[in-house]
Amino acid sequence: MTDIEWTVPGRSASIGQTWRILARNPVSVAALCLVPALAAVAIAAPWITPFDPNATDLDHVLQGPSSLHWFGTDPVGRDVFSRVLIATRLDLSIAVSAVLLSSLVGTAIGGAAALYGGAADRLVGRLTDVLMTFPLFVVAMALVAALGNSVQSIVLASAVVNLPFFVRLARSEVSVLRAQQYVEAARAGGNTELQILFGFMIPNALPTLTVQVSTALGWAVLNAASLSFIGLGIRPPTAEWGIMVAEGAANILSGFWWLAIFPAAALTFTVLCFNLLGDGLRDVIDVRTRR
Amino acid sequence: MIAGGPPLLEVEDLAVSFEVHGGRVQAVNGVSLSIMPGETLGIVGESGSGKSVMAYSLVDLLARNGRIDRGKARFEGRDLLTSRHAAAEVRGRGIAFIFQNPRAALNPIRSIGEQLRDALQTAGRARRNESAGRALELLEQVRIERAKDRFNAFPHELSGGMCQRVLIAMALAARPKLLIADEPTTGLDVTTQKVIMDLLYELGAREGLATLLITHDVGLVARYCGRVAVMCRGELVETGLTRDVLERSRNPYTQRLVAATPKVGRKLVELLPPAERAPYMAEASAREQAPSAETPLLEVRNIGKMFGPERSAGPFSTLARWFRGAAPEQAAGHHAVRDVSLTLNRGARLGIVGESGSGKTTMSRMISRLLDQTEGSITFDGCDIGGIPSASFAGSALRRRIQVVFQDPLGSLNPRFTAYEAIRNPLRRSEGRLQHEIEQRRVVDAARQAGFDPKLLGRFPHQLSGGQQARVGIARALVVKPDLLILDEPTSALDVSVQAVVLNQLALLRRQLGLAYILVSHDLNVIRLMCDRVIVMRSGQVVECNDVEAIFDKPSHPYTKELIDAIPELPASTLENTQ
Repeated sequence: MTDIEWTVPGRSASIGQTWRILARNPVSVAALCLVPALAAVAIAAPWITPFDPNATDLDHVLQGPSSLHWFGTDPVGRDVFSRVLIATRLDLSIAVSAVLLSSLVGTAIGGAAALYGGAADRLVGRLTDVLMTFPLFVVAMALVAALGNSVQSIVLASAVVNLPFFVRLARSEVSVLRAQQYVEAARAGGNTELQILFGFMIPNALPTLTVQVSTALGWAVLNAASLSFIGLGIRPPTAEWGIMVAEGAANILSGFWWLAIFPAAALTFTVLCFNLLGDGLRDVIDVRTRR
Repeated sequence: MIAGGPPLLEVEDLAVSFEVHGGRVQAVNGVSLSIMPGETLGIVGESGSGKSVMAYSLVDLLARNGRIDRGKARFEGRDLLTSRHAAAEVRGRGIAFIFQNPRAALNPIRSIGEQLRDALQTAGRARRNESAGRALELLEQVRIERAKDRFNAFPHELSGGMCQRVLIAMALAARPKLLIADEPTTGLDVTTQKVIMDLLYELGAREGLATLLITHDVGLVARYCGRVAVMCRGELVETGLTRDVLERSRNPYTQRLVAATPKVGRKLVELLPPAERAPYMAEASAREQAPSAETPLLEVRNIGKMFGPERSAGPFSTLARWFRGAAPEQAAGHHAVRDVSLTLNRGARLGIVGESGSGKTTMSRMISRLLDQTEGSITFDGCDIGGIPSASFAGSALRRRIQVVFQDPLGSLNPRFTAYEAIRNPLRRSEGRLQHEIEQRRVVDAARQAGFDPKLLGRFPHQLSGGQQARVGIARALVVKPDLLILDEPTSALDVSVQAVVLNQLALLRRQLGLAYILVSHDLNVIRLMCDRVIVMRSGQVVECNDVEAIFDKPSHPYTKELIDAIPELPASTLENTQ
């Protein structure tokens, strides 16, 4: 019995199809290209900065943008371009680790709450409600103030602030999916509850979760920058967008606009990229958009 | 028929197309027809035949990507298609619509009385102060009992059939000349369907209202329409008097459609065109066992399911009740199924029939161990499976032997699994990771048994047709070699011609593999073709249980009789020769 005249066709969704989806949406393509570029900058930053971001040069303070110093120099003569580049690394790693933490924990809690229901579900629901009644930025401020000024406490604070969104999303997704007939069919096919959760529910919730992850990344970048803007968490002289904007803001009225504008532009650009990425990824991940 | 006079509606060479990604799709192509005043014209066709689009295009209700390419439509001599204004003028006044899902067509936050008054005032048929009285009259006209009490009811407080009556009343508010009924009874129980259709028929006769009945059900057309138009892929293949079309059609598509509709005295293979019958004529293999005196495969004793009272007794609702001065909540549950017993031998075929809310699906879910019973016992092949909670049945060795084919072919497939992965999943769960070649052969064999082309195994569910999706569902149940199949309305979402093939496939599988099945359905005609014994259920209880012939020939319970009478039958003389 070796007559297998026939081989299993691969998934009908090929790379070609992914491209066809993307071709319809050039903005997503841009975001899908720019986010890896941002990541590349973050990783390669220490090697590609034209100047040492922390080296002062008192002969060249407060110079405007030029071919040598693209984004100008600051009051102690540090190169703003190098500092904006190197800050990408810190801001992105804070955002990525915070969102990773809150999405994993939040999805697990929300999914389990919806799956098992009952008292646990009600408790989780009320706790997220309570957490969301506070202005979230104030919660983050309080956490950083309590935990001390460190990168870890910013990550933790951003994670906690993002947590209720993931809990709610996962909970509502799973409770919708629980009623799907294919989940019942999976049960009839001998899948245990855990296998159903990981094999059927989470993959189907993925398109929605991806969008949330991407949006949350944007918010987390903004959150980290805002905390250091008001002087919490990361301290000068570390290069960080929020601190740079805060320092530069004091000089804007004196005409030294480049100190605040460039880090602020970098921040805006990053948040925008993550938001656009969400939409693009959903189209690629959701197999139902394929023909 | 109706002699003389110009036709009420005249459609000439109508063509409608839709813009879709990568081109245009022709939905209606060169349709011409006419309706006389007071006449009932049936438009019958399978899904995608363009029958609804044709009707919608007449009154400018097309989706945004739709376009009328050419054609003329005149209603009472006025041209409908030349301007949007003309269509808007006629819509709701001269021509009224009723839709398939009545509850969705009503505004959920306004009472039905108010909605009727709105309809009357918009149509300019009643002034504000007299509209209430007129609305009440309309409700009585569509025979809503206790119309005064129900005047202030909201749509969710009424049954589906009741909502459809309200919609009919709203349609009548403007005293239209033509009523377009788009699948008005699809999704309603047969007895409700009969009431609604009788009502429409009577209103038509009394008010001189012409009706355009759009339906997939040939039986409905046979019973209620004087003339019928058959549509297929956007084209009108045939028009004529209903009797002529159903009995003496020469058109192959009409013949096939009529033949595929189950009716008395027609055998299962006869639903298929003669050329396609051969594969399903196969004789029973040696594996078929005659019902013998051995221990039955399945024994269900006094099973019941009580759904507990709504557990809303949290602190807030308790507080709310206290404020309203209401009594503490009574712990009253309700029985979805009560005291049902049945026995099934190996290779037997049992039908469970009932209307919505009869508990038939609850029954099938308890037997397939997807739901725990609250009373009674279930014994499968000598094992007390009723004692195993449904939550842990997935790990039981018996899980493999009881498999289910679900109602909604698309909804029961994981959208992220290809057909191959969908069929492989239960195999992996019951037998673990097999050697790759063996696994592949098992999946391909199951697909072939279910009549699914193995070349399509790499596709995702939404890339398959309804019939193909149904076959994947069947293959998924077969791959683990079960002894008992629970078929929960396996064909109710399919067109009749596809249903004919799927039913034949299921019957063939039973003969070849010797498995027993329980077929749950609301469709008595299907049950008659597929089963030896039938259980009739109503409100969770068994009304009647007997051999299939006995049930149909001399039903002993009045409810069974009512159900059988409500089936819109094709006349006995319908074309038998499908040559």
